[in-house]
Amino acid sequence: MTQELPGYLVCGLSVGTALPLPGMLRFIPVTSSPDVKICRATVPESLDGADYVGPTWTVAGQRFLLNLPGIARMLVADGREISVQPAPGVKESDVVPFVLSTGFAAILHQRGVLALHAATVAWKGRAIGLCGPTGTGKSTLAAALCRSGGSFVGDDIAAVRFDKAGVPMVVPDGRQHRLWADAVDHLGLGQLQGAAVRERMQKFHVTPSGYEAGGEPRPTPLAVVLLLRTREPIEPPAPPKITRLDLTDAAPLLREEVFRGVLAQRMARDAELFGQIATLLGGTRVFLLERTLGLEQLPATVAAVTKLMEMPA
Amino acid sequence: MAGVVWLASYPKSGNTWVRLLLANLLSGKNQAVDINQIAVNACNIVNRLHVEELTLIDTNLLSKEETYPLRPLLADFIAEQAAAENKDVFVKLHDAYFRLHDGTPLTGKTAARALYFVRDPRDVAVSLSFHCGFSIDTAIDRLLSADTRMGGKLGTERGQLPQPLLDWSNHVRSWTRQNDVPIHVCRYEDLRADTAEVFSRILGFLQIGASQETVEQAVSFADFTELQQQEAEKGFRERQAISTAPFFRSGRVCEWVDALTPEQAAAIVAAHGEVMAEFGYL
Repeated sequence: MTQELPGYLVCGLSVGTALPLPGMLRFIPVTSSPDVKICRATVPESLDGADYVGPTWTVAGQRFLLNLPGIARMLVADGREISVQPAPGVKESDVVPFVLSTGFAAILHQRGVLALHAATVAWKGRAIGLCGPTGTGKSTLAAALCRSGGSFVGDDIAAVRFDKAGVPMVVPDGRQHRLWADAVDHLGLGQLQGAAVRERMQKFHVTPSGYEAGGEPRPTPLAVVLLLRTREPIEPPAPPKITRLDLTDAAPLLREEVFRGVLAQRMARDAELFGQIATLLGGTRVFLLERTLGLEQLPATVAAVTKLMEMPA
Repeated sequence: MAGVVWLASYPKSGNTWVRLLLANLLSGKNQAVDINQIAVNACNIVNRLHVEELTLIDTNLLSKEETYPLRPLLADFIAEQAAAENKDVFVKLHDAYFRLHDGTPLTGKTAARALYFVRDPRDVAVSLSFHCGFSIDTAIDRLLSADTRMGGKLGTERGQLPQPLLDWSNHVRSWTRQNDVPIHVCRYEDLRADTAEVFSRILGFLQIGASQETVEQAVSFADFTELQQQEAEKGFRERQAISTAPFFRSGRVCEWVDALTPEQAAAIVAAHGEVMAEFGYL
C-alpha cells in the first residue's frame, strides 16, 4: 500500500513530501501517487556511471546528486523522486530551500521542462517574467509590482509549458515571496511576513498581498520576459531603461536565464532547450531592463514596467 | 607543470599589478592589455554568482561558516580541470592560508604553486584606507585584528564569499610557513625597484620561458603610468564604489612616512614588528 503524504503543487507537479515545506502557498489534498515524491533516505556519497562530476554535484543519466557540505546530500532521480539526507544535527527546514531550488531544477530538467530563473507577476491576465541572477532583486521587484496592481504568479522558478495552441504558459512554482527584511519593511508587508527562509537568516517567506482574498496564482500566458541588468550607481541615479531585444539577441540571453543552466548543459539538454526557447520566442517579447539597485529606486522601475505592460502587445 | 597557481596576498600588496604583468606577457600582443579584460587564464572562486554556477548552490542562503567547506571543493575542482587541460590557471586570492576544523586547507590540496606578495604593512594601511573609503585608523584596526575578513556581502552581482584574512602577521606567516604548496615570496618594494628582474624571477619559478625583450615589453605595458591612464579613460572594474581614489592611485613605496602619524606607524610596528623585520621593513 502506498504511503500517503502531505502534498503541494510545484511548477504544475503534485508533490508528496515527508518533509514539511515552509514557504509554500498551499496544501493540496493528500495524494497517494504524486508526480514527485520527497523523502528522507540514505543518500550515497557518489554515483556510478557519472556523466559529469562537478565540485559539489554529479550527473549520471537521470540521476543527480548534490552535496551540500555540512548541510545535506540530495539525490534526484528520474524526474520523480528527491531523497534527502540531512547532515547530523541539521534541521530539515534548513535543507528545504535547497530542495525547492536546485532539487526542483533537477526534477524539471529530468522531465525536459523549460524553466527560467525568474519571478513572475501577472498583469491583466498576461505574465511578466523577471529574469536575473541571484541577488539582483527579482523577488523584490515582483512584490513591488504586486503592490501596484499586479498579481503574484511565482517567486523563483518560471516553468513554461506550451498549451495546445502553442501559447507559452508560466506555471506557478507554488512558493510565497522570499524577501529580505529591509524589502519587507519598505513595501509595508510586515503583516504578511512568515518564517525565515533558513534559521537565523534575515530573509523571510511573505504571503503575496491579495492571496488570502482568493488571489491564487494560476498558469498565465508568458507575454513578456524582462532581463534584469544592474546599472553602476551614479549620482543622480539614471532612470530605468527598457530595450526590446530582437530574436537573435534574445535567444542566447534567454538560454543564460535557464534555471541551473549548467546542469541542463551537463544533462545534454542544449538542443532541446534551443527548440523550446525558439518556440517561446514565438509568443513572448523579451526586453532588457537596466536599472539602479536599491529600494529607493523601486518606484521608478515599477512605473517603467507597468507602462510597458499597459502598451498594446 | 600545469595546474592552479595561487596569486596570494594581503589586499593592496601588488596582486593586481602582477596579474597585469602576466596578462601582458602572455597576451603575445603588441599593445597593452585592457585593464578591464585581464585575459590571463583566471578563475574567480569567491564571486557569489560564479560560485553558484559552479556548485549549483545559492551561497546567499549559507552562513559564513557554511561557505567555508565549499572553498576546498572549488579549489580542487579548478586544479583538476587545469591539470586535465594541461594549462596554468592563475587565481587571485586574499585569504590567509586558513584551515577548516578537519585540517583541510581552505584553498584545497591540489594547487601546483603559489606566488605570495608581501608589502610594508604601513603602506598597506594607507592604500587600504583609500581603497575601502575608511580612515587610516580603521585600516590599522583591520591590519591588527585576528578577525578581519573580506567579502561576505550578500546579493548583488559583485557579492563575494567571506574570506578570512587574520591579522597581517598571521596572513604572511600562514602562507610563507605552509608546506603544502611550493611558494615563491615576492616583496612589493622589490618589484617596484626592479620590475623586470623581479618579474623574471617570478617567471622562472612559474617555469614560463620568456625573452628579455618580451619581459621588458610586458613591464612597460603594465607600467603604473599606463595603468593610471587606462583607469582615467575608462575606469577599472575592480575598483570599489566606496573608494576615495583611483585603484591605481600612487603605488609609492614608503608613502606611509608622509601619510601616517608617528603614533599610527608605531602601532603597526608594535603589533607586527617581528614579521616586518623578517622581511626587511625595520
